[in-house]
Amino acid sequence: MMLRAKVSCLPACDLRGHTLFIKDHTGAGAGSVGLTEFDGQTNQTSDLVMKAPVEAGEYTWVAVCPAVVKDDVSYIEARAPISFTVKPHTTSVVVWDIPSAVVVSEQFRIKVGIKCSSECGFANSRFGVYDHEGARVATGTLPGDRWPGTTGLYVAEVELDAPAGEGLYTWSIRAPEAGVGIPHADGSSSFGVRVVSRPEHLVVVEAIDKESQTPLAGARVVMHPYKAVSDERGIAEVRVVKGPYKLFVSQTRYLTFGLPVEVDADMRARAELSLEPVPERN
Amino acid sequence: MAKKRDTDQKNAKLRGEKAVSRRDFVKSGAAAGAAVFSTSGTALAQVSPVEAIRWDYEVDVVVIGAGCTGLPAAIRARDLGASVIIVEQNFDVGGKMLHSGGQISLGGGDPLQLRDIRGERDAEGFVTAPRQHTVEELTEDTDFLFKDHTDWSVMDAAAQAPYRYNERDLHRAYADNCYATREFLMANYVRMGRISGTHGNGGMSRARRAVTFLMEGPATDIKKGTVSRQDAGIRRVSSSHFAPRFMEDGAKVASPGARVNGAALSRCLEFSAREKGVRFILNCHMDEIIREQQFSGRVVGIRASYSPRFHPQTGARLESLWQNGNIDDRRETIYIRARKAIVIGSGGHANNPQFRSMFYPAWREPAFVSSGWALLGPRGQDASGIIAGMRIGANLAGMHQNLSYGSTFHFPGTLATRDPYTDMLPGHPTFPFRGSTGIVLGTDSFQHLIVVNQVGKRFFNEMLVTVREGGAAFPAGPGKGQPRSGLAHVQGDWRNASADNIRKTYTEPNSIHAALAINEGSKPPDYLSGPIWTIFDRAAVERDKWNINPPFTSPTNGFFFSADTIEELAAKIYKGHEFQRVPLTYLAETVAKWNSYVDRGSDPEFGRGSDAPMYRIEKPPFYAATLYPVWHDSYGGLRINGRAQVVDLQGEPIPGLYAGGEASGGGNQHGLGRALVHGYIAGTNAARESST
Ligand SMILES: Cc1cc2nc3c(=O)[nH]c(=O)nc-3n(C[C@H](O)[C@H](O)[C@H](O)COP(=O)(O)OP(=O)(O)OC[C@H]3O[C@@H](n4cnc5c(N)ncnc54)[C@H](O)[C@@H]3O)c2cc1C
Repeated sequence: MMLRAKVSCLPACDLRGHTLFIKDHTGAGAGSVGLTEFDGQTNQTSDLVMKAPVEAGEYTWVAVCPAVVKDDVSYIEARAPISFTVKPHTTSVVVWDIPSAVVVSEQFRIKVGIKCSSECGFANSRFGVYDHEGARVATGTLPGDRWPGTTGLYVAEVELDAPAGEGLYTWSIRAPEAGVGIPHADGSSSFGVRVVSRPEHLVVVEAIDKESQTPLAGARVVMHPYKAVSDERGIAEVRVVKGPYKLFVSQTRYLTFGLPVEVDADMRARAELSLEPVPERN
Repeated sequence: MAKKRDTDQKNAKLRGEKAVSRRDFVKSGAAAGAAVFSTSGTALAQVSPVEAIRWDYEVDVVVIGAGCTGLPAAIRARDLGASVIIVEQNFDVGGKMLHSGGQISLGGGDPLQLRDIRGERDAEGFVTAPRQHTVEELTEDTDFLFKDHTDWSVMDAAAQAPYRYNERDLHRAYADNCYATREFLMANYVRMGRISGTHGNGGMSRARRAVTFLMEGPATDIKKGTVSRQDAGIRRVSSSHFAPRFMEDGAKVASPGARVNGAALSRCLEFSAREKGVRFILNCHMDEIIREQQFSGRVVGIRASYSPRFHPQTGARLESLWQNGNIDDRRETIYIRARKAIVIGSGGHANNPQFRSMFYPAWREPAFVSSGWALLGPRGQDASGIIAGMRIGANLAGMHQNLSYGSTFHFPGTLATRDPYTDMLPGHPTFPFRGSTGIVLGTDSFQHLIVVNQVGKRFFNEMLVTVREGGAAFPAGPGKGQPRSGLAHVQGDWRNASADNIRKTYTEPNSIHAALAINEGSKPPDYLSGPIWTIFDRAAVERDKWNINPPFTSPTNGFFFSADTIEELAAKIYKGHEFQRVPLTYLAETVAKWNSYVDRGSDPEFGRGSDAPMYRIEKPPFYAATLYPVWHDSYGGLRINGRAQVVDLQGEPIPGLYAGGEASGGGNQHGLGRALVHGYIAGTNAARESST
């Protein structure tokens, strides 16, 4: 935190060179700063950068201007309280690479990223994974280094067990659990876990460029919640449970292909995609 | 926090561009001993007493604006023997025309329709592409074109009637002058390809559009019809001073090696104008049109002020590509006398938030700019020509016609730039004002992101945000609001406007209006919507292969941000974007909600999920890029008659005053065709005025 103080006297006097002392809530000296400016009425210090207390809470410190004799005038000591609130650092949590569908009771992995608003080091600190009933189902430990290319995000991967029943569950991550010196407000992030029964049918989707009739590799096939990507032959295989779906096939610069399908057996679908018209500027 | 600035005038100052502040012109007004009137923000506050004026230049015809109306007007007047000066507020010639696609719809049996009907090639033999249309689709006369342009019955796919309200006298003259204008263009070095459809409210019934081209060659040579590869630009890499936008391949409509866009129109007209002795005072903003008395008598001249633009990094004054014919006058104020006439070709009001908000209060939002903003600067399209005309008694026309062209205001789908309706690349001197070319996305790519308002809330189905109705033109059909296509379209048929047809063909999603709506961050009295943001993650960039590196984005222009968390992203936007006046309080909540919708596979708020797949926004880094709407071209302006004379509130022409293009109203046709014909008519009649 940064402090700046003003000192004025009656009658006005130039106190440049005089030093102000800061005492913390225990009365211990926390720092000092010289008066450097005088505008004819008021003296002012330069900026004093100080460390805030490590515990969150309300504090009152004191600025003390010791007694001084200047130009044969003696000025008595003056004090001013400095009241402030120390807030804990905030923690942000991000979760990604959650599989869009997990088979009941199977294991799955997610990535968890945690970051302090003041970019504190979170090396080796811990976080908890909580299920839809609030029970902690796993803990994770952050690595020793920040994620490359970020300014303070620590990233870990955790392995989790899916619930035994089908459904969409909301789980959460809370951090930090332990391992951080300075107080941090809890950060949390929730995420959905879609649990499905074991797929019964295979849907083979062939993605084709409509104009050239050539295969489209890398096309994204989505039959919510199932996803796949087409291979070099333009083929994507999606294993799904029986039921109605909207089959989407999309590819960069192509118009998305959408087709309602009812799956009650293995099936094939052919998706012919047309290039999206380039927006004209005229 | 970034400084929040509210007007482009202040903006211009901060960016090293000269802007005239109210104080400045009040000061200069006082110095000239003239009366000072109060206006809001434009430099038009004086009425100069004629007898007190010391003219700095005297010429037959003064043309205001070296763009699509002004250049043909000047050349035509010069062809007819008049001496001509063009004043242009920008540092270079061309206006929005230089920036344009070069697509010109004329018709009525114009020389190119006839050339294609006869199956002929152009005189130079450049055009090798086959004819695109049947003889029937090209055959018409001027009466037929006139009917098309005044057809009461046509309703477009947004249920607007683009032709119904067109000024009849003006469009009669338009139809009668299309032939001559096409011929005039060809006589002034402009090469055009095959007729291919019609665009932008150029009529529903026949094919009338041709695009301008130059052939790629070893060097740029207007006489030979060639443009160097460097000048034509390199796709996704560079454009040039010659052509601010990359010139596209014209093989389909002209021949292999042809490069097309508005540079092939603008630079050719400019070359011809300079060759014929038209003189240019660039960096010169017309501030006032002077009439004998404010509301009576002839117009006698103009007052203009020095309006240079400076490179934002080097501070150097920007200079025109060609200099012959330029008068480099750097005096603060000059007066130019027009012995015969003045032609207002200053373009429209798209960049004047106060003016354009006459039609739509939400557009008082100063953040949003017109197309061609970087190229023309903050004072291009500031409505100054229209306001100058109004101040000497001119009437207005067609003001509501801003509503009847799909791209008047819309989202072009280009992220991360304030100037989204252009593909200008590094290489043009005004590129630094854009700072980034932007990330150009097709409609389908919006499946990878969400769009939020200034407080971080979604407001519409993202898949529809950039969808717009697109111009009512040949070959008609349901996509353009019409029951029948091609030659089957019937002019003036009641079925075209029937409620049943409108129900079947209406496609306007109205998303732009949701974007501009009042939100929790809108403050009285204007209740501005504030900026619009796209929010996406690293996974989206990887999936849809977006290039988010410079020059597509800029790390410093405040239109693109990345962060490790959504909270951090929101804070960066608030700190770093000049028009973000409030924090994005809801952003983190919105993203969390969106992710829960993705998990469910449907979006209960805005109906996504059935039209395209949905993806979580989860993988850091997270990105925010602006999605700015643009006011493209403007409709509504000075009322002009068939001779392009500006008409006053009594219905009488103001002697000696002409106008056209976007400065004029009552013509709902998009762009070049309208402006070129008006310019041609105005130049013809201006030169024929008697001298005073
Ligand atoms: C990216 C883009 C693509 C386009 N593509 C097409 C297309 O393919 N087909 C089509 O039909 N239309 C197109 N248009 C629209 C078309 O370019 C314009 O509608 C047309 O140029 C308008 O002509 P104008 O003479 O009214 O204005 P402009 O051509 O803009 O000329 C006006 C000139 O006046 C100057 N000026 C303004 N105020 C003053 C002042 N006070 N004093 C001095 N000078 C002043 C301006 O700087 C400018 O140079 C396009 C526009 C853009 C931006």
